[in-house]
Order: sequence, then structure tokens, then C-alpha cells
Amino acid sequence: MTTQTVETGVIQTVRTIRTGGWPGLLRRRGLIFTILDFVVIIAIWHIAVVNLELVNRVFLPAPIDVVLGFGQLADAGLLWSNMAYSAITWVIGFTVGIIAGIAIGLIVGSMHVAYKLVMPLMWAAWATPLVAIQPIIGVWFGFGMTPNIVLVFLSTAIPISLNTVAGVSGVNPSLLRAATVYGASKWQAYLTVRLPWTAPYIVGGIRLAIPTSLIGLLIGEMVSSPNGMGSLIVTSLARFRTNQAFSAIVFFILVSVLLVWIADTFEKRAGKWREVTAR
Amino acid sequence: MSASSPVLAAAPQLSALQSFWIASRWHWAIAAEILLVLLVWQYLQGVVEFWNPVFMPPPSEVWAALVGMSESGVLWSSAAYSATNALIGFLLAAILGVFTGLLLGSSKLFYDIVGGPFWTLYATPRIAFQPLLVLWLGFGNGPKILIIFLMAFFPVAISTMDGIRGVDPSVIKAARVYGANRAQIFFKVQLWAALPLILTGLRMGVARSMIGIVVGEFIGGSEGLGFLIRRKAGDLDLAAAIGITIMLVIIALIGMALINALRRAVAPWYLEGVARS
Repeated sequence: MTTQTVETGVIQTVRTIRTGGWPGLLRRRGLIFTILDFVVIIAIWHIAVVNLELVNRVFLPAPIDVVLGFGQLADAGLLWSNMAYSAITWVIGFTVGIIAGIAIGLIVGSMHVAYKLVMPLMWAAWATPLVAIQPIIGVWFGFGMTPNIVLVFLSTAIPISLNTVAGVSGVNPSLLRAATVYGASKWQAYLTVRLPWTAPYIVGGIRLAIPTSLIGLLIGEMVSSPNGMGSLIVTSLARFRTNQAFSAIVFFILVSVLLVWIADTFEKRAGKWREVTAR
Repeated sequence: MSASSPVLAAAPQLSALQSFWIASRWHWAIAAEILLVLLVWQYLQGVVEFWNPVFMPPPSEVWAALVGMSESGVLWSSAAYSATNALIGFLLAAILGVFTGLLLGSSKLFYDIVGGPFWTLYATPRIAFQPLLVLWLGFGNGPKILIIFLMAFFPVAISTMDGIRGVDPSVIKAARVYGANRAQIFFKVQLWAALPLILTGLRMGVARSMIGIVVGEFIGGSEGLGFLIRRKAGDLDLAAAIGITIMLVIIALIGMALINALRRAVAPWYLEGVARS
């Protein structure tokens, strides 16, 4: 355990650096078992639905139906258009959220007064189930892409700013003193010590913001949006095209797992040098 | 804050009032800050009508809406409905999560077997399943409890696993030297050493189950605080919607504070938020 910091968010950051879930499984035995797991799950699923007919296929489509569902959605042109819509929403909200989160975090983390006055509010914001304000945001920003962008923005900016604060305000004081001894000005110490120290925390915050922002995106689209993956899932189900809903869910899951995996890899790179220096 | 020597020297001469002020001054500052925000908000909208109060009702109206809903009983029946679901879902998640975490953390074989599906489901935005859960379990309590469970389960399980793995090996060695068997090591050493992290996971689980409550009632719900937020917002009664949201936040904060208090009681040695290198 290198740096055990304040709350939920940062603890998760530390965890991904330490155990990393997937990478640990990619040793031989874990990999074999993982592949086996999915084969067994899909086989049982197939046998239960197709051979034994335990459940109505409308309620639980067979694995093959889900695969076919991809084709149906793609043929109808629904998959790519909705995915593109969701992607645009997410990218805008996420990018602006990263920028705002880092900016707020740097300001709050670097100024003692701001830290004392703003941090409690930021923890309260983190404790807020952001999905709950979706209807309110909907009233403010209408029915369409904007409320979902706002929701993604909020669910990105809050964890990133919290992690940034944890980084900036938690710099090892002896490093700062060392910089001062070597004649660094306040500004230089900030740029050469504080910011590099904070960088892994920011990356950790971005990693943490991926699932939270995807939850915000999905909820916004499921509850009120004419387009997007969330809307596709809900409308497919409303038409009892369960297999297409499954395909949409699986597709969304694959994309989000991929995003998390990319961020995990990136995070480990960013945190590596500090693992060494902290010891 | 600088604890330099002059301050230390002056310390004994502080009166009770002064030391109380020094200890609590930031709390006062934060209280003043919140009061100021509320006043500005109230003034700009309630008095000057700086922008349309329908879209952002002033605090007085939010309060009035809460009082109104409380008197008509909607607030309390909804809160009771949500709280029942949340409690069942959270308790299930706590029990099964701790159990799974213990197995994941203590058995390499179990981790290798279950790890794949576990981490996949963890990386999944599980609320995507909510419409499906409604299809399978109907419009009753079932899908709400299940989504709360799914939201709270993973942080509990992962923290427990981390806690079990993070136990200092020398402590276990010491127990072994004193003749403890495997079960004793597990129940008397590992479990206790992991306790603070288990409780941290439970606290995270409280926050996550709030998301579960809201999502469960947004999609296929007809009762509860989440449903009430959505209906009131649909009626353009934003004062009520904002009031209930603030209430949800307060409930979440109280839940987390309770678990923090529990941790201080059962694991007072554990210092959270301290950099340990």
C-alpha cells in the first residue's frame, strides 16, 4: 500500500494500481479458468434456453439470438447511429469534465482557504447520487443531448477534482523542502514538484470517472432521450425485442470494459515512478 | 497550519473559549458559507426574481415544498418504501459481499476461477440491466432490491478482498509461531486486520446503493423517493424535486457517518487519510 488517502475514490485508485483485477488474472491458470468460465456460462445458458426450454425466449433470448440481434440492429442502422450519438455526448461531457475537474482540483488543493471552505461541499457532491438530479437537469436543459452532456460532465468533474485535490494537497513536504533548498522559487516548486506528484492522481481520477460518467450517460439516455444506447436498450425492451436489448447491453458493456482497461493500463504507467519513489 | 514553537509556548494560556474557537473556526466558516449561498439564492430569486423561479426555486420554496409533502404524508411513505428496499438490498450486499471478498482474498484458486466474471461484472455499468430486471421481475420491489444489491455488492467485496490481502504477513507469522491454526488465524487475525477496509467498503456500498434506489425507481417504479423526484420534476414542481434530492444526500451522508462511527468504535487503531509510505 503506497498512499492510502481519504475516501472511496482515491482508495479505488490505489487498488487498481495494486491488484489491478484483470492483469492478475492473465497469468496462465487464471486465464484458462476465465475462458472456461465464459464457455461454461454460455453453454449452460444455451442448453437451458434452447434445449430444455426452461424460459420463454422473449424473456431470456438464447446466446445465438443475441449474436443475431447485433446483425438485426446493424441492418436497421440502429447500432451505429445510437452508438455515435452516445459517443458524442460522452466525449463532450467527459472532456469538459476533465478540464474543469483538474482546474477546480488544482485551485482547491493549492489554496488552504479554498481547501477548508470548498472540500466539504465537494464531498457532499460526491455523496450525491448524481442520477437523482437527472429529472431536474432535464427540466433545465430540455429533452435531447444537452442534459446528458451535463450529467456526464458532472459525474466526470467531481471525482477528478477530488482526486486532484488529494494529489496536490498531499505532496510529500520533504520533496518541496528539497526543491526550496536547491533554490526553486515557489512557482518552480509548484511546476516541478507539485504538478508531477499530482499527475498520477489526476490519471487515477480519470480512470475513476469512466464508470461514473458512463452511468450518468446511460441513466440520462434511459430516462429521457430519443437517441443513444440507453434509449436503444429501453425501446428494444418496450417492443419485446429482448435479444436486441441484450445485444445493445453487451455492446455497451464491451465498450465500457475496453475504456476501463485502457485507463487502467494508462494509470499503471502514470503511477509507476511514484511506486518507486515512495518506498 | 504551522505548529511552530511560539504557538506551542502560548498554548497553555488559551482560555476554553479561545481553544474552542481555534478547533471549530473552520466549521463556523463553512456554516457561514452555506448560509451566504442560501441567502444569495433566496434573494436573487425570491426577492429580485433574477431568473424564472420555476426553474430554480428559492430555498424558502424548497423548504415549503418539503413541509407540504411531509404533512400530506407522501414524503414519509415514499421514504419508508425506499428505505425498506435499500435496507434489504444493502444487507444482502453486505453479507454476500463480505463473504465473497473473504473467499477472493484468501483463496488463490477461488480468485482464479471466479475472477473473470467478477471483474467483468464489476467493470460493467450494471444499471444497464435495470430495464431487463423489470422485464424479469415485474414492477414490484424485486428489481429495486436487486439493483441496489448489484450496486452495493462490488465495493464491499473488493474492499474485503483488499483487506484480507493487505494483512501484514509478519502478524500472521507471529500468530503461527504462537501456535494458531488456520481457522484461528483467519478469525482472530485476518478478519480483524481487514475490518477497517471492510467497513470502508460498506461505506462505499451505502453511496452506491443510493444510486440503486434512484435508478430502480426511475425505471419501472411507481413509488419511493426516486419516483417522487421524477414525478415532481415532470410536474415542473422543482422545489419538491430539489428538496427530495437534498434529503437523499443527507440520508447518504448520515448512512456513511454511521459506518464511520462504527469503524471508530470497532477499529480505533485505524487511521484513514494518513499517508503511509
